[in-house]
Amino acid sequence: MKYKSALAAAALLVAASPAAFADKKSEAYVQTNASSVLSVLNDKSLGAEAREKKFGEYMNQFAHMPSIARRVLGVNARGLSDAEFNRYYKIFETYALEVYQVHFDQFRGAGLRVTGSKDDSPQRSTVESVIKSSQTGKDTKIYWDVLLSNDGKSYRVRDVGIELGGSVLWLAQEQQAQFVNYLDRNNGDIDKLITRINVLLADMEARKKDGRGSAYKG
Amino acid sequence: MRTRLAILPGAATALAALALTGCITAGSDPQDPYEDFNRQMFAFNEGLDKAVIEPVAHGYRAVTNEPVREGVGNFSSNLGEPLTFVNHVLQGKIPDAGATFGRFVINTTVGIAGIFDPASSMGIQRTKEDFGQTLGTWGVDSGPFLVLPFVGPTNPRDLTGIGGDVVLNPLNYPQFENDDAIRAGTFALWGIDAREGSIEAIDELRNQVDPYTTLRRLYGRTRASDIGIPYKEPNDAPELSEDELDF
Repeated sequence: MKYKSALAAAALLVAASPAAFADKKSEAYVQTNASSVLSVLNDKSLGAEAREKKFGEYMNQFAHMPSIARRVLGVNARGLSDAEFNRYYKIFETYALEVYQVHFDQFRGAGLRVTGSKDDSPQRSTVESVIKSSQTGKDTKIYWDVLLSNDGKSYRVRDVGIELGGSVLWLAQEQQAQFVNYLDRNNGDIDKLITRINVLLADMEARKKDGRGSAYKG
Repeated sequence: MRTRLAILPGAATALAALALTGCITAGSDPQDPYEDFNRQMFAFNEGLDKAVIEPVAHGYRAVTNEPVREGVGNFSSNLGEPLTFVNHVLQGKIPDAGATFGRFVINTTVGIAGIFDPASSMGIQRTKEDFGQTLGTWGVDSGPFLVLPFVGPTNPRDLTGIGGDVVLNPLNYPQFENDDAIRAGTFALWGIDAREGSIEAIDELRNQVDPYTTLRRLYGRTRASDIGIPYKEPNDAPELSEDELDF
């Protein structure tokens, strides 16, 4: 009898809970947009430059890059003027897209399958998906940190987590740790960070030109 | 073995002396209390690597081809199998210990002193265990992140593990003519081969916004994965609120 009462109470609690954010919509959002982004990397009809351009366009629809740019600065972002942020954002966007492309490139040719999701807060959920890595040939879990806008009308990805040897590498979190520590050690000087990112971008370009590519995947 | 055992207490003494003289003082960041000291040691190791070790690794790559390097790598890895075996036993992984023992016997004999790896072709895959991993399996906490000169990234648990490995490695005990020189030679060969295999990865590490932070997080993640325990990402920065990130 007690058991039945407990079950009934649990059922009532579930029924009374607000609608879960991690619904089929956020999962569908990831399924559609992640597939589009990956399809660009698979599109053999595109040249390298056109592929990069299209990849950037899709990523900008899928993820809200200005939010990511702000997030990776941590609380340092609060002290920036609009002019400083815009100067930083211009270079950050190019850098972040390069990093995403390096990581996504290992899944070239594979199809992504969303397998579930869970709520992290009323506006955030983590969507889980599986894709086969062309490097290891194994199924790899990819996690998408999805944010619902305050007006409740649109979704955007704010971080991507790639399963690596039993742990998850969250790309924006990694960038945040580096950016914040770099700024901490340079008196919060955003121009020093911009200069550093420019140096790294120049190196990435040089690598592309001489065919070295990128060996480091996190 | 005498040489290597003699180095370790020396390193421990040097570490204790650094701490006592105030060269290592804990900072305010609980994620990385010895960050200032670690960054200095990271810079020292980087300088040493760029001046000596990296050029040697490039030279080694230039004068060898892939099959030769694979043979050297197999040979070095095979010498690590007895230590892996002991650590498997200490962790209670008896089937893995059996597989490692089998690998060592097959590769040392059929594989000609471990230069070839027929055991892998037979489906007995290589695993690698050290005493730091064993301590982790026993529930010993890693302690704070450290970067030490010549040693590189570590922590008190893994530093203790290095000492434990020297004591536990069965190959450190047989005594024969020129045993110290031969052990030093194989250690150097292992080091050069390992550095050659990491050329691209270290190159890429240097091309991060803050290589030290990347190294610290990568080390923590990799060791947790090696031990098979969940890795908790350090919280390096206070987050902006969701309202500040709205779009």
